[in-house]
Amino acid sequence: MATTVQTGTAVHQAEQYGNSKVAETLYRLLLYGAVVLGGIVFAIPFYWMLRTSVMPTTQVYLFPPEWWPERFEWHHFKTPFAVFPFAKFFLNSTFIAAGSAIGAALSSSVVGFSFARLRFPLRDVMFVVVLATMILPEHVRLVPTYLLFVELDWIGTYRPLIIPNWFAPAFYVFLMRQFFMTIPRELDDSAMIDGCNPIGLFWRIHLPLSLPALGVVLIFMVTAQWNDFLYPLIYIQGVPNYTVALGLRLFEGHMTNNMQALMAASILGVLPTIILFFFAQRYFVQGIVVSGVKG
Amino acid sequence: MASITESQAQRGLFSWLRRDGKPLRPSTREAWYGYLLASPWIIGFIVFTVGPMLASLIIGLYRTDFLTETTFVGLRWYQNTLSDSLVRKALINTAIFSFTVVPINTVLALLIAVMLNQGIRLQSFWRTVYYLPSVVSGVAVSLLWKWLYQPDIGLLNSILGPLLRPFDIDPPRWIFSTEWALPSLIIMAFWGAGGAMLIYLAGLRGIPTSLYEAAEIDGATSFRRFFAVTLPLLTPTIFFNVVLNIIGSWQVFTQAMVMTRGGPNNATLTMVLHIYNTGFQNFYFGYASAQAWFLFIIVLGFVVLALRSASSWVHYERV
Amino acid sequence: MQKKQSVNRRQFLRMGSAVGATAFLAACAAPAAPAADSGGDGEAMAETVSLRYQSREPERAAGIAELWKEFYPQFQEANPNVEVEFLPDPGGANRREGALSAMVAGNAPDLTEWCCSSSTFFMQKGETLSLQPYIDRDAEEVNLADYYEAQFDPWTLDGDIHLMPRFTGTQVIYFNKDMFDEKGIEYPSQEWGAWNWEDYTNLLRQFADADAQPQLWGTSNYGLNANWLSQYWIRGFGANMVNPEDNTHCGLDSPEAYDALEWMRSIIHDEPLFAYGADIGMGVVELFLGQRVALMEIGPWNLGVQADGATFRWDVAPMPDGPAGPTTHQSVDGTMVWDGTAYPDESWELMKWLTSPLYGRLYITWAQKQPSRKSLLPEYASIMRAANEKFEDINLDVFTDSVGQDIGGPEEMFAEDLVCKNQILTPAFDQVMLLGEKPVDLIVDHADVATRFNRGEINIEDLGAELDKLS
Repeated sequence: MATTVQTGTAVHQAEQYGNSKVAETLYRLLLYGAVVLGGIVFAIPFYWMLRTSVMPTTQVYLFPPEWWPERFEWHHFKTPFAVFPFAKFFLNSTFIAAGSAIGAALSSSVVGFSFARLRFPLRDVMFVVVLATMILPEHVRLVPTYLLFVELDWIGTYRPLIIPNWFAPAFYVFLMRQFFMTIPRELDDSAMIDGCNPIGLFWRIHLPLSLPALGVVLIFMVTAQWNDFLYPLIYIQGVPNYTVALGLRLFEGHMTNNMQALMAASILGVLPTIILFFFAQRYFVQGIVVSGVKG
Repeated sequence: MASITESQAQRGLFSWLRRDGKPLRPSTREAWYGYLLASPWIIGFIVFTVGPMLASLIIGLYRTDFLTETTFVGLRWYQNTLSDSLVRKALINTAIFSFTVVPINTVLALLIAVMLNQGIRLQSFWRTVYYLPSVVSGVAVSLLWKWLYQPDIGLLNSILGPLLRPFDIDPPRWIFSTEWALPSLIIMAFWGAGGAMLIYLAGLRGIPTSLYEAAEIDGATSFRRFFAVTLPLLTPTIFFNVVLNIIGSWQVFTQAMVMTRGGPNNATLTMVLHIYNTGFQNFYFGYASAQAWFLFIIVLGFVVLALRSASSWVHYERV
Repeated sequence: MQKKQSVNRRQFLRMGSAVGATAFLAACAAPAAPAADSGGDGEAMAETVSLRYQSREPERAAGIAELWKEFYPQFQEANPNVEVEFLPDPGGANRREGALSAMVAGNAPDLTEWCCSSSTFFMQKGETLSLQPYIDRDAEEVNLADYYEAQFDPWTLDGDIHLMPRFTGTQVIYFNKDMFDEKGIEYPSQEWGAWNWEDYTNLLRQFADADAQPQLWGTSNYGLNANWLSQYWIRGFGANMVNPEDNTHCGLDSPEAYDALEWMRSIIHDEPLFAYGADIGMGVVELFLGQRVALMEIGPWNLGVQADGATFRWDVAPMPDGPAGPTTHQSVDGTMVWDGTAYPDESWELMKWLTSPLYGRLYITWAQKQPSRKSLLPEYASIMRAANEKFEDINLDVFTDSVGQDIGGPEEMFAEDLVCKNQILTPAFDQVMLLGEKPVDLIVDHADVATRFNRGEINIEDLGAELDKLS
């Protein structure tokens, strides 16, 4: 089977209809034009960020602004490490993100499966409640949740940031549920005939098929935890335990007049998520159901 | 699990529920499995959500800053929220933000996803380019855009300025003017369309090849094929994203907080920012709780509306 | 009539959370024994007392680590039974929120440093321990006479002092010598009281050029907003934003205040001489470093940045007088002892050390902080210069002279400070000063709403409607 589905059909089509070679070329040209132009628009703020981060102090505030640094001052990237234990921040963030992502993926896939495939009283009501929790403004439960963790004696640990994610965060339950809904019922029936109970059905059919969706959960959770600011601020105590986002904000507070160092720190803080996406995306966007049906 | 024998497993995990040893009715058995598998969420919901929420509902009955004396005020906050013109202002701003960002972002993300799904060269490179903005932390993006919107040496006006000045038009002052402040936050939101784009890409890849082949045999043009096959099959994904976008856009906070603090003259005062101000700036936690519940109900209303409409346009495999 | 039930806040919160969370805790195991209400282990009768000290300084920036390394052993030697955990500034706009959560939950640090309105806020909320008994007991060591007159104004509740200063920063004029020389303009005088707001305005006119690309102004500050940034000018004109005799009364309804506001509005919008930082999206420091303003109004906290970033020669000068005499802002930076601390005596001991001349000197050396104690003022310039040769040519006495002469005052705080400044006055200042859309009368009208709100004549939920009536 061809790996890229749409290309295959487009080529087929081009062969079927006469005169379509030209149309196809024109179409491709337009397509590439749009992709490149859009890409530039999306990338240019990053360019500006990068440019600012390596510019000499004397050039940053010039009018009219200059597009190219007169010389590259990479030392702005060292400033964050000189001022704070930035490397430790990265380790801390990684621990929190990984711990949360694994828990979220496991729990939300199980729960999502249950909402998508099993019938039980109050299921639909519960699903509306799942949706409802997603839209609860966080600030409403900030202080009550804090009090809860004080009672549990969890303050000053990473537990308040990680453990709640092991209880199927609503967002990911919704995501997994929506995904399972698109898996054809016929697959269930065949498994049921094989004598699977729902857990077996989940384990043997749905989980293998849902790897791409689990990938989405993992990536989203890692990114969300990596970028989260409010909760680490409240629950983490002591700078050595800080996350990258907290470190960035700490840095921002003391670097208001150093746009270059601030942008450099932001770039560093964002880099891991970018790298993660680079490595994960191939697997991430590969044919989902197709491989499942054939396998 | 090890103690469960083959035959028990065959009969089911919950067979012990019936003392007479007869198998459970299939629907009962399924229900028990349902609760078992849903239990992580059920427990988490009770402990981490419903408890704190109820607590905040009760807090909404008090005038409290948590520090000095706490006074019972009954339903005063809940009754007065709607007549508070600052709340109305915040609601209008947030509604404008939501009703522009959600549809435009959906179309934009879909468009990019479809474009990138045509087997173009350097696909992963372009995907990354479009996706990157959505992975950057909220605070970093806000700081960056504040810098981009700088009226005379910022990126935007250094491009717009030379284009507009010959016509004697001054480029907008973006977040530093009442007219442009909210549009600035909206424009900035488009930059994050990559998040949804990625999900659409996953959705596009999930469309069975066989359906395209069928459409092809019918002789459908690529345009028709998109509207007859791709779009309907993508509707669950679109639905998912629209719901998420509605939720996210009604909670817009970081940009307004970091870039404008709701100003100038409340032009970018959003609902969550106002709740934050009422609670954590002005320390009226009871009133903030009431407002948060109010916002919660509004957003819930929109989501329910979306869910209701789902049956008419979202195409699921039959459940 | 509202039913008034006074509930202790912890009872109240327990009550609230009991309905939800706590009741369900059993469901997820964790039979967590409720965390003790007191800060420490009561029965253990610990020999060493552990204090937590929430600083407003980051851990490693600005030499604070070195300061602590030098300071702490000396403190420990004198107080072997007291351990201090230094908590660096968590940073960001949510600091007050985090502190509040900790106070509500009953585990706030024993000592916390605050700036600006937050210090008064927590005092007004009853979270600060009154230091008056200790100050009276150790009067000689504390030596209140060693501080400038208005130092304790924001920290006094019913005649008792609740916070102690950690440093006092004076707002002065920074000026770009190169730009003065280029135009052949004489530098401003170095003596407080030697020039006034009219001299200042005329000076600004010589530098401002609205048609230049990019536009040039004369001066700037962080933004003439509804806080200390406009208060020092208002005082210079003989008025107050907050009536010193009655903190429920907004003093912007006086003719003097009107003149002050009108002068500010005119130098921003009529000429324009004053760059409203927020309006043009650049901070005052960026404008000054970028040579778009020849002068700026800012404090000593900017000296390091200025010394490192300047590509031109610069110096400092006193603030010009207003029609009513000399004026400036003295920063409100103080340390509180939390009311809920388990160790008030030990906390006070640490407080005394943190306000000692020893600490003051270290604070200058490592963090360039302008001392609060008058007795240390003469040492400020020399220690600064020893630490950084770039200050050799800077007239640092300008800062300390004002404190020595009791010039200037701290930020003025309303009874309902946060709402008055953020929600009532800021929108008016936005429209008048930032956007230039409305006359000064709008601020005066908002001032009246602020007064009525402070006095409980307007409910919080009716504020929006009241303000709508005015615009």
